[in-house]
Amino acid sequence: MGAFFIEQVIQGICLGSLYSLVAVGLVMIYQAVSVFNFAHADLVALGGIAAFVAYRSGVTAFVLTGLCAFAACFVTGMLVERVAFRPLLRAPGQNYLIATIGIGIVLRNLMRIIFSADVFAFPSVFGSDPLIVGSVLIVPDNIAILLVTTIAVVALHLFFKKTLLGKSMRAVAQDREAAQVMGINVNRSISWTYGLSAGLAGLAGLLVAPVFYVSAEMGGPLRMKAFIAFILAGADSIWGAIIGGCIIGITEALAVGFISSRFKDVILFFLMTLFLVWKPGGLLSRRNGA
Amino acid sequence: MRMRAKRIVLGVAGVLVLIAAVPLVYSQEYFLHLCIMAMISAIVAVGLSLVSGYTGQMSLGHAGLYAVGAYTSALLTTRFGVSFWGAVPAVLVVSALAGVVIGAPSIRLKAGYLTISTVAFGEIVHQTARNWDKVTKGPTGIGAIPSPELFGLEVMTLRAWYYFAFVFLLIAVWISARIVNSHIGRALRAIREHEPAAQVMGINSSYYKVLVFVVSAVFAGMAGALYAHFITFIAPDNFTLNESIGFLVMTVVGGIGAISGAVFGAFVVTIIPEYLRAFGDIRLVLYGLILVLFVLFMPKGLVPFIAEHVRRWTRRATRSQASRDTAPRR
Repeated sequence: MGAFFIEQVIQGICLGSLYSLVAVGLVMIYQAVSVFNFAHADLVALGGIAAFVAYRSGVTAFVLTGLCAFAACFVTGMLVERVAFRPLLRAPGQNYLIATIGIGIVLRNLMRIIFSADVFAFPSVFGSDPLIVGSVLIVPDNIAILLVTTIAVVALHLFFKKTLLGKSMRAVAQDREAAQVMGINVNRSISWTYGLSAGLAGLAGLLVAPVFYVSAEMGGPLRMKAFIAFILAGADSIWGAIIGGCIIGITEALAVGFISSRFKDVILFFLMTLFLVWKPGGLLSRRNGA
Repeated sequence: MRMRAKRIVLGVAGVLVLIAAVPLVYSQEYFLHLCIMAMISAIVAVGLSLVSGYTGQMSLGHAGLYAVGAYTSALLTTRFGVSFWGAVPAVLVVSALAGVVIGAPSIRLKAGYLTISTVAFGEIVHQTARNWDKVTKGPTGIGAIPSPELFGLEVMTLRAWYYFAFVFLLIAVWISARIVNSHIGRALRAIREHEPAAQVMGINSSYYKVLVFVVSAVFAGMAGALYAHFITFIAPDNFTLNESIGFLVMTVVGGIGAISGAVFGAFVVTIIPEYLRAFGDIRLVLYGLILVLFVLFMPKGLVPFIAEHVRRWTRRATRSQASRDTAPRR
């Protein structure tokens, strides 16, 4: 019982850190342009597919497949921002939202046409022999997930705190007009925000590939979870997204382990509704209630 | 002003006659089927457009309300032998309650949160329908939903359904028009323009926002019931986030805040993807591209776009007419 509980919690944290990775990208874009990016989950799929294609064509080193996934999404994110989203920066919110929905449909179906509509298994890079600590089993994939997300989050943190570009992105997130007045190139910042956010989604795609298999639709299950993490974060806090993702992962794993796997999504949405009423500003806001 | 009102009435009457004549002139089955689906969706879109146009908030949970209506009616008619008309009051009450449940807490939260909590609501409804086997029969869905009866006749044929759905759409449009032109509409416009000022003038903004959300919920529920009885089969996967997105797309493509825009958008969004089938695999890619192009080049929506161009064109025509009249004679 005790060991099972700990296993579920570890499983939850690992799944949760994946959700965090996706949610962080959503939050970055929300901070910059105040829109929920509906195409984000499709970038996760793009990352998975890019990693798969790279792996099949002989790039088997984990770091290199990761780089391929990151780069493919980074480029696509910047491209899409330049072509479809930048002209809408001053348009009403619903138009921007519809554009992200449209781009999502385009990406998903292009992938389905080019990559085929089939589902492919992605070999686990670290083998399938579980690690045994005491009486607790740990799947090696989970260690990879934790390792990569930790590195990504630390790198992102350093990027935001130490580099000029990262600082300018934070400035744009706080107040776009003020940032522009201070001489920051707003378009360049937003473009990089899209690139990095998509890159993180790509990494999530790489990590989730051995778990959910590779297909044009693989982003679907992550979309809802990342969405809830995004809400728990109050839409605009990166640390909130990270903590929110983990809370969701743990809740999900415990719900599956101890209640029923069928109602896990209902439980998650119920949790989200509670948060909306209790902490509408997000996990890390100081304000309680409506 | 009288002239203008008269012209509007004439225009509306003309459009109505035109729509009513369609099945008599062109009765290809598939086309009629699409038109009926478009009309049912238009009922949802009209309500949704009231919400987005007047409260500035978007709902992405209307497929949930649509499902609530569809399941209420389907269960009452298949399980308890209630007639369609017997189920209608229940549909209206249940969907209104659902509207209060999501509308009341979320409309008071910070801007944009309605969208988010409606996504959650839609997904909760979807998951409940999928997993509550005993009542909803889970993913297999509910079949053999009876056709409604009208004056002792069953509404079965596509033509009959065309007029049946059309009447419901007319009622929805009429109610919306009445709301927009009433004190409720004025209050909502005041809130949209400047909420604090409206509140100072004694308008209870939360009350009006929830009210309009409940109206849209009732529309969605009723449309869901129509859908259930038209298709005669419903399953949880007919009511996902994608359907909610579809309803929102209709209002934006047609032109937000205009009743005619919502109706027009419903037809465009229902019919375009079907006619893209000729393109095979890339049809959904094209559909996505069309959406993006729409918001890029017609940001206000189709109906305002067309109206603007017609106005410009007629103005130019009258101006050139006037200049010809006043041109100096030799």
